[in-house]
Parts: sequence; structure tokens; C-alpha cells
Amino acid sequence: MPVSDEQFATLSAQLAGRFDEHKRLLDELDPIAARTGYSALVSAAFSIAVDRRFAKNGDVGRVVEFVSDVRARSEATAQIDPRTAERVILAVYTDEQIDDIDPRTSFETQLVLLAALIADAGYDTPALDEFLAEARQVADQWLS
Amino acid sequence: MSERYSQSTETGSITTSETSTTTLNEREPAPDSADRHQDTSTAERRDYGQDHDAAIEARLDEADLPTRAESRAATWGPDATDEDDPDFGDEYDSDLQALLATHDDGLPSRAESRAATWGPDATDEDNEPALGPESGDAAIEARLDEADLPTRAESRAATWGPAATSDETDAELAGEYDGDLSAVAAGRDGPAEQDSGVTGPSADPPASESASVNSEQSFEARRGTGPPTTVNAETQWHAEHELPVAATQDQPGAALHTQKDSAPASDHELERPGQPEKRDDLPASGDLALWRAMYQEFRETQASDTGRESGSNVVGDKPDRSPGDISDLPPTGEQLLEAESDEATRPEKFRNKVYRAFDDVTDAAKDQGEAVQNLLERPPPAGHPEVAVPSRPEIVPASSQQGPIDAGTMVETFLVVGVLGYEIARWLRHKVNSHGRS
Amino acid sequence: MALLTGSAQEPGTTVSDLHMVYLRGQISGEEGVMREALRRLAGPQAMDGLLPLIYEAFVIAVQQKFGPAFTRSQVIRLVAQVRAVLGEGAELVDPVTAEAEVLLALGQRVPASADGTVRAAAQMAVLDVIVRDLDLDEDAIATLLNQARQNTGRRAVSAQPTE
Repeated sequence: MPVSDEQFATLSAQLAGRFDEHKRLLDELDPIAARTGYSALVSAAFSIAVDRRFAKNGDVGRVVEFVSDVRARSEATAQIDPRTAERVILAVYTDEQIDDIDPRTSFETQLVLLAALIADAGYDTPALDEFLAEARQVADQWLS
Repeated sequence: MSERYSQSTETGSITTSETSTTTLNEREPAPDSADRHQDTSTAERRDYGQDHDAAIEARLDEADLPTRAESRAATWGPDATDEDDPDFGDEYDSDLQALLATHDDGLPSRAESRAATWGPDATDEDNEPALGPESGDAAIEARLDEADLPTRAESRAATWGPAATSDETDAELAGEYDGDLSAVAAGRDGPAEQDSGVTGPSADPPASESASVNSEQSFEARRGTGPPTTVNAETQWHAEHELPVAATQDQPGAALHTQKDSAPASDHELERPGQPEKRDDLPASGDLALWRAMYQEFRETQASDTGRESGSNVVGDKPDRSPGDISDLPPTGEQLLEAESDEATRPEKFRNKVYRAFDDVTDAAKDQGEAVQNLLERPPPAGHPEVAVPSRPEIVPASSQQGPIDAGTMVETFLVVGVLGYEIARWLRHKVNSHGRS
Repeated sequence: MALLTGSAQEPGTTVSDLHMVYLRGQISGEEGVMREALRRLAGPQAMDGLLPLIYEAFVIAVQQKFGPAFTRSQVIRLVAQVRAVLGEGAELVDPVTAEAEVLLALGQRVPASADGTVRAAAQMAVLDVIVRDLDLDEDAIATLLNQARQNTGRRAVSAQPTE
């Protein structure tokens, strides 16, 4: 089952900064469908964002620096485990394996890092729409 | 040109007395053997003294010795008959056996060997050493039993001092002792080394006692006592009691003190190997100048030792990489094609790595809502609040959770983390240099 | 605010000049000096005074860097700086442990790692970076180390059970 429109709208609202809309849509999501569809969409978006940011110049030092910067931005983000965050980023474009990381922990870390990557990218509305469209396309491939 | 071989009883070596390269073939034959061939008449017959010996030598190398007829044919040609065979005498073919039969021990005397080789008229005037009765094996054994080898007690006293006594640590040297000094060294508990001059309560061995003769103990038993007498064994013994600098650098936690580095042991009982003496001689509270001076000394010492700089390739070191390591080479055409195909499946690769379905996805998303909002908000939040540092922190006893750190782990930690200091220094130097160039 | 000490410190543990030389060499990144000092510090108890010395030097350096107040983000960025310097060797320093050690040195109540080796590694690495970040000269470094040595002795005395 591909990514649903509701799932797509939920993530789009959040990344566009429409937080109230996001919370409402999130509450209305079917939790069974979200188990696959929404998690695939978030992971696909995260992978594309990491690929754009680090794949060409992603030495470990840059990843460490980015994660620390994310954690330093607020008390909420400081709760992210730095090693987990570094590993999930490295897993996208290196041979880093993250099978030992709990799926929920991995998802939560990816979601926070995705927000930071989008914030740093400074996409305008068309660019953000294009990015999300690509993420949905990739997620649909995964779910097919 | 005649050639004589001299034999030395001291070294057992055999050396040529002359530098000529005369070979066996060129050796002057015994007069008798030469005369036996004087009646040869055919032109085809070669000089007996040269070709005959060569032919015999060649055939002796083969598995099967030729018959007399074959030898004759080889020597005189296929048409040769036995009528021209020289008369070697009935005893020729069994000459050796005849010689052996005349001696009870199966070995010819010196004169007999000489005569068999050079003829009955050969004498010993040509550099044969006068071995005399002392060259016999019995005489040699007798000399080895004399005073120049110490007894076991003498060796012990010379090593550990006159007060040293025999105890269970003395290795049992039974008749089957085969000179395995490593077995002796393994059973010893004495101090590390001797060349530092620290040998026990008394450093000077009693010279007079070492000269005494002990005919009661056999040579085999005495050969294993005392300090090693062979070069290889001595090297092994010292190696077991004193680690080289390279080994201590890799395993400083396991290194033994060398006696050179330790304080004089006159007031301390020497410890057994494996239990370094206590370092209570170190200054417990050196002043600033003292340790700074020591630090400068270390720096100067290390600075002069250029071959040990980190990263320098010293002759004999293993190369940094295997010759088969081609990771630095550009990709081949096949690898480039594979990379292109990898691009098409990257989303699939992402999926395999980062995507995993799980329950409570919406709950997880809600839990991170605040963090995500903090990151995406415009303007961003102020960050972490400022916290004041206490002016007088209280002291709490060490945490019971931590537990002791064993010396080996500690050393390993220091060595590993010590590299951090080096790496940081190198990074900073690079930063300073690149900043200077910009 | 209570502080957890950096190691299981035995009463009467003394800091020798060799310990001082080692740490001085390590701060300067002089591997040869470090190895020579380690070579001489052989034996099961020869290094007992080094861990407390490192911890005290670390505490002094941290307090000197952060001054009267700090933010969590500063601590996070400092540890990240240490690990970023190491590059591929960033795994040598556990970031959670390193941050906890810094917070402890700043008088915060945080749980410390139970692994003394990991703690010592974090302390040494952060100490190195802070010393360079503060751009301390030879005299300042020597003064810092001497102060750490004195603090080690005082803390050892105060840790002894009173009769």
C-alpha cells in the first residue's frame, strides 16, 4: 500500500512549519497504516536529505559537528543520543550498520535530524514541495 | 703439486696448508700405482694418474658400480682385454677389507692410512702435526675434567654470593640433561641480570674457589651450572630477564624493570623476576623545577632519536600497507559500470538500511514534536539556559560503581588516548599552518 | 554541589615527577616523551597516581574555560569539537560520557559512566583540547599541572577516614 494522502499531508505540514495543522492530522492518522506508510515516508525523506547534504563530502568530523549543532539548539534536541544520530546519518551513505538500533529510536532520531536538515537547507515552498514529492516517490517504491 | 691437509685438534677444522687449487685429479699418484701402468703400449691409453682416477670417481657416483670389464672398456676402449689388466695383486679388490681385518677396532693407524694413500714410502714430514698422546679423546676428556670448569657450588657462589645455598630452585641436572639452558633459567628465581653488577649480598665472587678442582662431579652435570657459557644461551638468558626497550613500549604495564633503571639494591632484598621491586625510591613530591627539568630532558632525548618519530619509516619496519592494497588506485571500467547501476538502486539501498516498520509510529512522532518544532521555528529558540558554576564544589568519595582499573587496562587506555594528544597537536599545527597561508 | 571524583583514589596515592612528565608530554602531544615516561612507569602500582592527576587537571581546565557560568550547548559543542578533531577516531571518546564528565567538573549532578577507562579517556581528550583552546603557554601549563598535583594530595587527605 503506497503512502496515503493523509500521511503525506501530515509530514508536509510539519516540515512547512504549520505545527497545529500537523498535530491535528497526526491525531487523525490510522495507526495501522502509519506503521508502514508514514514511517516509510519519514525515512525516505531523511535519506534524501542526508544524501543531498553529506554524500559528496560526509567525513565523520562533519557528521559529528552537525549532530552536536543539532543537539545544542535546544534542550529538547539535546536529548538525542549523539552516537545514534551519527550512525543513522552514516548508514545512509556508508557501510554503517544500524540493525542493532531500536526501530522506534531510529525513527525518532531520523525525524529530528530531518527537521534540522530541512531547516538548514532553507527551502522555499516550491523546493520543499519538490523535495517531498521525491520522498513520496521513493517511499512508494519501498512499499511496492 | 702435492697437497697436504692439516688438521687442528683445537678447532677440529680442516684447512688446506697451501692455497693452490690442485684437485684430486692433479694429485701425484703413489709411485707403485704409477709404475703399474708403465707397460701400457696402446696409444689410446691415457695417463693412468689422471683419467683413471676420474673414471673411477665418476662411476662411484652412480648407483651401480661397473664390473671390471666395464671399467676396462671405459679405460682402455671396447677392444681391451683382460690380458692387459695391471696386476694389482690378489689383495687389491679387498684391500680395504684386508686393512680392516688387520685391526681390532676396524680403523687403520695413521701410518697405514698414509701408506694406503701415498704409498709405503710416504712419511709424515709434510706438515702433519705432531698430535702426540694428548690428542687422544681420553686426554681431551681429562683436560675437561680439570680446574677451568667450576663446580655447581662454585657457580652458585660466583653468581649469588658465598652465602647462597642450594634450595629447591636449583634445577635438577640429571644424567639426561642435554644442555637445555632455558630449562635451567626457567627454574631460577634469582635477580634479573648480572652485568649491572648487582649480584646479591656480595658482588665479588670468590676467585680462589673457582679455581679448585672437583673431580667428583661429571662434566655433563657441571656444564649446566652457573651463568651461561655459550653465546646463544647467554643471549637467551638475558632476554628472559631483561625486556628490550621496544617491548616495554608496547607493553609497558608488563615490563620488568631493568637493573640499570632501578635504585641500588644493597638495602633491599632482590625480587624475583616478574615482581618488580617497589618504587618507593621515587620522589613523592618533587618540586616544579625538578619535573620540568626531567620533561626537558625527555624532550631532548626524544628529539635526537629521529628514527623513532611517529610516522617515519625505519628500515626493517613493516610497510604501512600491504603491497596488494589497491584501494588508492582509480576504479576500473567495470567498477565504474557497477557504480552507475548502484545509483539506480540507491533508494532501495536506503530502504534496506534506514526503514523499518514498527508499532506506535504516531506516538513516536508525537514524542519528537517539540524537538522538531524547535528546529523548524522561525526565529529559532534561544537554546540552552545559562547555568552558574558552584564556587566551592564539595568532595564526594569515589563512586562504588566505578571499581578498580587494572594496570594493563589503564596502560592501554593511556596509550590509546595518548595518541589523542598527538593527533590534536598535529591538527592544531595544520590549522595554524593553513591559517598562516590564507 | 557534590562532585564525583575521577577515579577510585586510594588514600596516600602520590603523584610522582614521572606522572607529571607523562601528562605534560601528553598535553603537548609529544608521543616520545609519553612513551618514555610510560616505559619507566612499569609495575602494578606505578601508575596509581596518574589517574587522579589527570582528573584534577581536567577539572581545573574545565572550570578555567567555562568561568562562572555555562550553557549545556557549550558543553555539547566542546565535546563535539574534541571528537571532530579525532575524525575517524571519534569513537575513542564517548560523547555522553565526555559531556557528563564536563558537567560533573562544573558541579552538576549527572550520572557518571561506570567505566573508569572511558571516563579517563574522555577527561584526557577534553583536557588536551581545552589547554590548546585556552592557548596556555609553558608556564601556565606547568602551573596548572602543579595545582592539579596539589589538589590530588589534598583530596587524598580529605578522603581518608577520620578516627
